Amino acid sequence: MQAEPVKNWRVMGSSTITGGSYNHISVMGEAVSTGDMECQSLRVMGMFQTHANVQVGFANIMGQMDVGGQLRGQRVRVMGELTVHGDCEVEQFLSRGAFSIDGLLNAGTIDVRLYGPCHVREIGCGSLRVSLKKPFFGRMRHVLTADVIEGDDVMLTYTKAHIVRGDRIRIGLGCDIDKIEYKTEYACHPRAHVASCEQRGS
Amino acid sequence: MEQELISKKELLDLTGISYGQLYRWKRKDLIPEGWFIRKSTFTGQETFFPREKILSRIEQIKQLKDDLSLDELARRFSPDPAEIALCGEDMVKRSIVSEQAWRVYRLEHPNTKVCSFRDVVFASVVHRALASGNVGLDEARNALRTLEQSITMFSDFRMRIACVRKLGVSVWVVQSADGQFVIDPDAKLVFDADVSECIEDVKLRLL
Repeated sequence: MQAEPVKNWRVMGSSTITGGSYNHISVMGEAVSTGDMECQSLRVMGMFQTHANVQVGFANIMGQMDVGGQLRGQRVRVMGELTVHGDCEVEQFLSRGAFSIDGLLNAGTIDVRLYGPCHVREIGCGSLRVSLKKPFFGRMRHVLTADVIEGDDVMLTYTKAHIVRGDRIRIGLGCDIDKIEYKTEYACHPRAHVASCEQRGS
Repeated sequence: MEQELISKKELLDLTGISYGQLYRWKRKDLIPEGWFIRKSTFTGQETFFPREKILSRIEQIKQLKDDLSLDELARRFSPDPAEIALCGEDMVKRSIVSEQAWRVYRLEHPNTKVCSFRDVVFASVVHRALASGNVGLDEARNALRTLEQSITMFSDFRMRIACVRKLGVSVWVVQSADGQFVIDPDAKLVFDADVSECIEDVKLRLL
């Protein structure tokens, strides 16, 4: 067993590190990390850029975070903006902001409320829920775009995807999906656009 | 070597697991990243797996997951060394090595009583080589020497070992796990083993 890391790192101005293992990281200003990094909890209020892989226990991103490699961990909460260039593998992914993931978003549960534009190449999950933010001003509508979505429980609204595969699928308002493959349950909003749908196995 | 592939869809149909489980196991590192092979098909990008490996792995996970936590399973499947020490009799008893293989090991290291994980793995490779029936005692001893010298190059055990014989002269080759090599058409590949597979086997017998 490795010893518990006890170092904390707090950035109020601007700072650069080469990576390492930390207990708590809090970024209020601007921070850059150039190597692989590991921490128990991470809080970003400003801007945090990492060029390599990140392993976190709990990440709360209220500002902007940019990960060059992979993001792995337990819980990620996005209230601001998250960009991941590799894969993102977490147990719980909650978004109330915007994110863009170039690789696979692999999570146990994903809960997305569309406060901004969201892009993922591929989603693989246990349960996925996408809902629209409560209207505040105007009619600005954001969408989630993905190439492939695969999961057991999938509930979508305002999603644009090529293929959606899963066990139980519910398609809500504003979806545009080319192909659906479901196993047991399927429901579709009358105003959603689904090009083709088939049931596989049961 | 062209290995047979299986698509993700076919795999799920065949094994009866769900997308959620598959992705969960991937997150827990029960299924290595390298087995996810992306290929483009006429419906777009699809994911494929090496057929034999993934089917046996999923069968193992399904059997063991009721008794063990996923983290424990992950530790067992990972090729990272475990912290153990075994004496020779124990290894023979758990059929990690045969009597014969242990004797070969003792010839090389006469004073060894207790083996570290590294030694256990090497002894099991020697055992495999002897059990294949194509490798002689002296050759097996050479294999042990080759492994011990090469471990500085491949400190993470991700390597393969092969024995090539031509005109009765045998040569041991150690290479990285995904490396390829071509041998002289007159020569014969006598023995070939993936060390990380040996580690998996050893771990299964230990726990």
